[in-house]
Amino acid sequence: MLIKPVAEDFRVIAHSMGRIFVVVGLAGLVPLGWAAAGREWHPFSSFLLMIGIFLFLGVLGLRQPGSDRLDWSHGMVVVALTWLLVPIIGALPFVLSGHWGGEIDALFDAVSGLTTTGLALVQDLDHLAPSLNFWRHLLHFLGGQGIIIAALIVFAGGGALTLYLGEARDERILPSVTSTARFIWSVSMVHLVLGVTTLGLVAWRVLGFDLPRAFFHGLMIFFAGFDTGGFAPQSTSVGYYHSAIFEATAGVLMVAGAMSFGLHYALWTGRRRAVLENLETRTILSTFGLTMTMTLIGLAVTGLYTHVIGLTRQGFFQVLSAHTGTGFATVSATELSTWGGLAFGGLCIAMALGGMASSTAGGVKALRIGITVRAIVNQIREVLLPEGAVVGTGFNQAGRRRLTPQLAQAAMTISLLYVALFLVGAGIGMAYGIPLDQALFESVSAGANVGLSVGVTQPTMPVLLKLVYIAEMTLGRLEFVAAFAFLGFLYAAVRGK
Amino acid sequence: MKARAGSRRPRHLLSDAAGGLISFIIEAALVVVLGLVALLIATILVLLV
Repeated sequence: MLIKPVAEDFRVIAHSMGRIFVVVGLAGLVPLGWAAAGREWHPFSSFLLMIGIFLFLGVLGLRQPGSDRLDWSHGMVVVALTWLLVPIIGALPFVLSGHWGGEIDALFDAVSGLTTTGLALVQDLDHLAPSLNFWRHLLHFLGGQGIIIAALIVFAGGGALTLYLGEARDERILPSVTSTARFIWSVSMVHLVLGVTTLGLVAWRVLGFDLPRAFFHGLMIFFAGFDTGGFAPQSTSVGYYHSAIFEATAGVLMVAGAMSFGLHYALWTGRRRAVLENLETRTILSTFGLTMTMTLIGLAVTGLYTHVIGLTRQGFFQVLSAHTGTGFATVSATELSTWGGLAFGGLCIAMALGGMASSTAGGVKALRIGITVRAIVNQIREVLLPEGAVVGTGFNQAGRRRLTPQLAQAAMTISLLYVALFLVGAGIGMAYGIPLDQALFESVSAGANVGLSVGVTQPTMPVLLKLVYIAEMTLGRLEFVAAFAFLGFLYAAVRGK
Repeated sequence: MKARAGSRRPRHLLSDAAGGLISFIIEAALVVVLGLVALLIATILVLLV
């Protein structure tokens, strides 16, 4: 029997929501300052409105009784509501700018930004006000790092673990959630300094940009690369720069973003052997090698790129972008749609597999693939070996762990849910007359939070398909659990006793 | 106690920065290695196809 939530439950949820709204509202001060510095008064007023709403709701929530009574179901509802409401309010500056076709298009880009997907419906991006462009990319940073994690740092308090786990993070690197959250932000800050400096210097010295513009582009590409987002300040994505060095630097940030924060911790503390022995590292290197080889064979057979350097550069960068879940592209959507056969398959699989668990990347995740493969191998061994023979069930993932049936079942269930999500999105796309390959590609790109496009995502696409992709992006980012818990809470509120 | 805590903070920041720098260099090296593997595969493919 489902227990109907009472007023006390709503107050506890409202208090936690208040903490998060205040933090996002404070984050909005950065683009507000940017708009003021650039004398962009129209975006300035829209940011002011957005911040006002966030802070008003935040203070309203904080006035409710404390969060020390926050239990697991409250935490999941808070996470789901956060990912539902923050993009709605965060899309306000987009709606008011006139660069988006309407409220749905603006919401699509806000969700795409927060979930670090990178699919975009913005129009005339090349003439968008810098402060709005900055806000698009800051959404990547907030969403990739985790809005909840940001809130945990500012307001350490009750229910921290539930909120942390609800946001699709399943690895506590340090003993407390707050210290883990702080470490995650430390990693990001160090990469921000190194990434922006390197990208800025390349743009300034190699590409010939003037200094402020070079560092603006460096900062935007850092946000989108490290948080495996995929937005870019120009409509032609990373292809705009026509620079192998710039692409390689962006590639380093994409790799860093797709690495779990647990591995970052191992690298920071000098435990490099642990990194190499890690199940996830081995899985992702194997799947990356496989999908890259598939893509390169496909491209070589179709003869799209006949020169070795062109073939390597386009194939490697696109697969790296797909597998890390970033979505940067050095080829246009039209050109990408001509990558048929094995190249298309390799790219699609790379997108679906995604990065590592507890990273900023999306997709099924290397940990689940590794666990599933290990479980299947163990099953085969049990059949082939003599009765009574002991099959090893250990694997390395932040220390030695045992592969229990429950762990394997959980990994396979979430993996199957991802496959179902991709197929449902592809099916709805096909219902609108989009060819199977393109509908599948775009659906996988949305559900795995990648952002590569073969041209299906555009302002003129059907509204229902926009809403389906919005749902896919959110479900993919939250890895289903928080969303399902929220639906259960709603059901209990209506039908519970 | 206050003095000790104050003196530990800069060392902590320095070790964070050093750890991050080493991590960044390793990530860069990984991209270079993967790129070279891609170049090798592409070279073989162009010769074969």
